[in-house]
Amino acid sequence: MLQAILIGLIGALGQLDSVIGSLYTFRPIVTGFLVGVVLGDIKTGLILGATLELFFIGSISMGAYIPPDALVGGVLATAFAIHGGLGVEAALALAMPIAVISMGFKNVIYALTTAICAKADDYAAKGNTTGINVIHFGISGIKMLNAFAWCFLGYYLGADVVVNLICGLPEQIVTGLEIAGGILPALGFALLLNMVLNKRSLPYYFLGFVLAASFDASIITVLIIAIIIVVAIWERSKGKEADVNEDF
Amino acid sequence: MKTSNDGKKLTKKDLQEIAWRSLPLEASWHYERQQHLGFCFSLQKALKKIYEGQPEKYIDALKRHTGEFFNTAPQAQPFISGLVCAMEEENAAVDDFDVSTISAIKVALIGPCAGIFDAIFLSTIRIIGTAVGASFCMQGNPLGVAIFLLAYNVPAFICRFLGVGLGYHTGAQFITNLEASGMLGKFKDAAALVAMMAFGWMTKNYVGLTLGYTFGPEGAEMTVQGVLDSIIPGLTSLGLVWLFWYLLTKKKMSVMVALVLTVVFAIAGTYLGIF
Repeated sequence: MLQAILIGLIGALGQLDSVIGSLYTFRPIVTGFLVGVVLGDIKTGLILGATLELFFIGSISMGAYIPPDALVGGVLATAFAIHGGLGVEAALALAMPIAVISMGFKNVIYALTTAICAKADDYAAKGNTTGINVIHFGISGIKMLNAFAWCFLGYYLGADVVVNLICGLPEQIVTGLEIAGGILPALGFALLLNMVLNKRSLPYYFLGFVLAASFDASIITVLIIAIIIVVAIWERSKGKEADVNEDF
Repeated sequence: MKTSNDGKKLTKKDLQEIAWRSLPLEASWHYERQQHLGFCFSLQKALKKIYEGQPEKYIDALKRHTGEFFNTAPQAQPFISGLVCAMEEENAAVDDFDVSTISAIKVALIGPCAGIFDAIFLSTIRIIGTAVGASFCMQGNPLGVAIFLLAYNVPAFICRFLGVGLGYHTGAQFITNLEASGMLGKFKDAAALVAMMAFGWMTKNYVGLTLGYTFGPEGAEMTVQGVLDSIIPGLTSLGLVWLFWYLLTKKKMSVMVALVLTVVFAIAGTYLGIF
């Protein structure tokens, strides 16, 4: 019970992110760690959190796109997996369905929010900033309550059900899930690729890949090489533009 | 647009307060007007000071910023707030100021600002932070969480606190200069280059599928994985990412369908002994 409340609070804390500056504390890499702390297995929490972060890497709100809810999906999938000792694969398979369902309910809240926000115009007309701010922060309170309810109830009511369900599966299906777990990050990456892909930077994607594949380069090595290339390109273009634009 | 440098009412402290008050920008986000209340919240104190002794204009300004749609990258919002304050000040100083220019400049700025800052923060810094942070977390090191958060937020706070002053003092001119110099495009290209290299690295290291299927004569069996690895290690990972990319963008497959297909494929493959 106490653990379930704490899991719920992690959800609320993740939602608080929008009040404290959109710091991205609601992402699975952060919540996974916190769930690990609550359930007494920090190492697994970190690994699950990082894996789910990669899986949800393309699920971000850019512009007005509302992505699957990586907060509730990440918290519950990590909590279920640690609770039942299920492993990364099960967490990956569970996270997206949970995130999509939670997103659906969130949309209902957003619709409700629109109705409440209309009241803010009346307060503005009276110069009542307190009224405007009560609405502004009150709404985030509603959202926090929603995230708390999902994570708390999901864990309190669902943890044993989900774990028993998965543990009762035949061995070959479990192995199949493990394999799917290896494949699924590719799906998350494809979503991100869809957002960031452009022809000019595409060769550098393959350069980063080859450095990792053929030379086993670390991420730091790859970043240093990337910065060297950027500087080299800037230096060259500087030489070309020197006559045209003396300011740079 | 002209913003004269004399007669500025807001002090450095006032501007910093705008930056602090910009933190809860997305607290009441919703579909219709999105960040409008958060934007209004960031300006309230400054507007009160700007319109001291002009209650009607003050209420007009509150109505303006509460009522109007607003949505941009959180890191860019203080810049826009600063710029809007400079214009509100002009409105306070003269009687026949056309307030519709304030709304117009807001509308003109939110899109490009979101584009630039999302490209920098979401598509670049976040990916690099994730790549480095996750590599620590995968080994069970909580330092990875701190790296992820600091990588993303230290630049974000710098942008907020520098941005508000830039917006207030140099205003729209800053954007015009930046565009004219071509620096913006160069910067975006550079950011994309670094992000894509990190992303390529992640494709090799964070997607894992091993094909256990063997073929060839007994005693000299070869594994499919062995053959692929001898070409380039990690070729299966690369292939998978692009296969999903093709299905999602070219075939318009939904993420859930792709997820279910993957699980079905993996289980079927296990029964058939492909893996």
